Amino acid sequence: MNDKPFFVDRSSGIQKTYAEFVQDVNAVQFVGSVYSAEDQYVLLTSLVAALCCDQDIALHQGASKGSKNDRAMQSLKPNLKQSALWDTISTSKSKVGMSTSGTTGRAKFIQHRMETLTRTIRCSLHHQGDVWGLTYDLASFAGLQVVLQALCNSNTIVRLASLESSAMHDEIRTLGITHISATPTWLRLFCSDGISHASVSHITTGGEIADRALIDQAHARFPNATFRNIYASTESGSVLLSDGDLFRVPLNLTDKVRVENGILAIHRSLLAESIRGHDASEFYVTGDCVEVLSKEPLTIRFAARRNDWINVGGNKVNPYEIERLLVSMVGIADARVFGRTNSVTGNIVCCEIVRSAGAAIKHADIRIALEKLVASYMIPRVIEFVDAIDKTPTGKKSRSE
Amino acid sequence: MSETMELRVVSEAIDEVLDESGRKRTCDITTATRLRADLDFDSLDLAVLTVKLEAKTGVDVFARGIVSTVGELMCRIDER
Repeated sequence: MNDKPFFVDRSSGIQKTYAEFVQDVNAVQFVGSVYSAEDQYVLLTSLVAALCCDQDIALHQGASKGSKNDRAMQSLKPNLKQSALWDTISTSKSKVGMSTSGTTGRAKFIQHRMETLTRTIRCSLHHQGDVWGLTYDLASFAGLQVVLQALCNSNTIVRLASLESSAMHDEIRTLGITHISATPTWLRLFCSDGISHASVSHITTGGEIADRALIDQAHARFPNATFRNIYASTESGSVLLSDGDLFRVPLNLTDKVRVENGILAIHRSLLAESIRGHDASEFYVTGDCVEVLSKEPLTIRFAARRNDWINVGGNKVNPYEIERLLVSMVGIADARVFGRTNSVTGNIVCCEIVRSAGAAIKHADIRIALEKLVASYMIPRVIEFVDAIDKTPTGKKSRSE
Repeated sequence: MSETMELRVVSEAIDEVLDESGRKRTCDITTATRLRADLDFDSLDLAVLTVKLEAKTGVDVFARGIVSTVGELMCRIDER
């Protein structure tokens, strides 16, 4: 196992074996907040060093804005043994914090214990030869799942996220990637290249609804792969798995997952530790609308994620937050932000703008102002200037087209 | 729609996507132009492109999967 590659990231020229990784972890002296834009491998060594020392760590997507919220760095002296790598990680008492949409000041911060993070990790001899293609940011729940699954079975992780399309196909071919976890949007783009890969045996999608048409297209590109869809939210971590678009609640969770008025509810014991305490009720209502296809065993299909939130390629956008930013801009009197279904990214953020009297604010002005404040997927791409915004009889702005 | 018309409609939509994201086109648009490799379009650019083309032609060009060249886009518009 000493020579086995652990992490390959051609975009930054990194290739590390398991032995080198353990050495690098033991060289980490301080941890606190880690930002994924800096270096994904550094994030990984910091994370494992913190886990080794039962130290809490905060993972953020994107770059540090030098905000006051950054925690102070803690010093530590990891003493990781390669032979005890997974035992050390899986029994760690650390809390791992992640923010949901880490680019704005009001991102929700959720802390997970290893028990939640490893709930669906499978360790077995069958997985020894797996090679993982990493399409997610390491500071995301889905990215962390890939890393933990790979660490648990001493697999190689190949970072595909920042590679150009041709380099990505090369990596999959030359390194013999067998497992890919990705959003449906990533898969849609990947399929458009028209290149097939026989080495891939498992594709996991999550974050958005993967429709039948996409699964059919992906079958043509990955003729030997089985597909499964995963239901996970930042609050609960991974909970349910499906083969296509139907989720069957497993026996061990029958008393922990239920549907209340068409909305999925999850028992508190399955939630991330940091939100368990805030919610006094026994079940946490996820806000995800589901259709019940059978009661025993409970089989459901997701209708739409959180009604008001807009899911852009697996990233959730809060329309209220974007509206608040828009109406605080000079030249805008009122705004309505809503999602529109899209064949590429699932949904796209749209908005209607009412200009202030005499103001001449343009599409480009809005984009330039928002670029400094939020991630690119949050910026409304379809902007319409209107005289007034329609409200519902109760005075609310409509969230549909 | 004639082929020249289609190419013009697609070019206009591409220029709008580039313009709205503060970029300039650096190559001529022909049927062989690749959306991702030559124009550097990401998934959000493609998402906007299909909204614009749908407004102009009534066709959601990526409804049956994403294509990679301008020529393939024109075929999708033809097939309506």
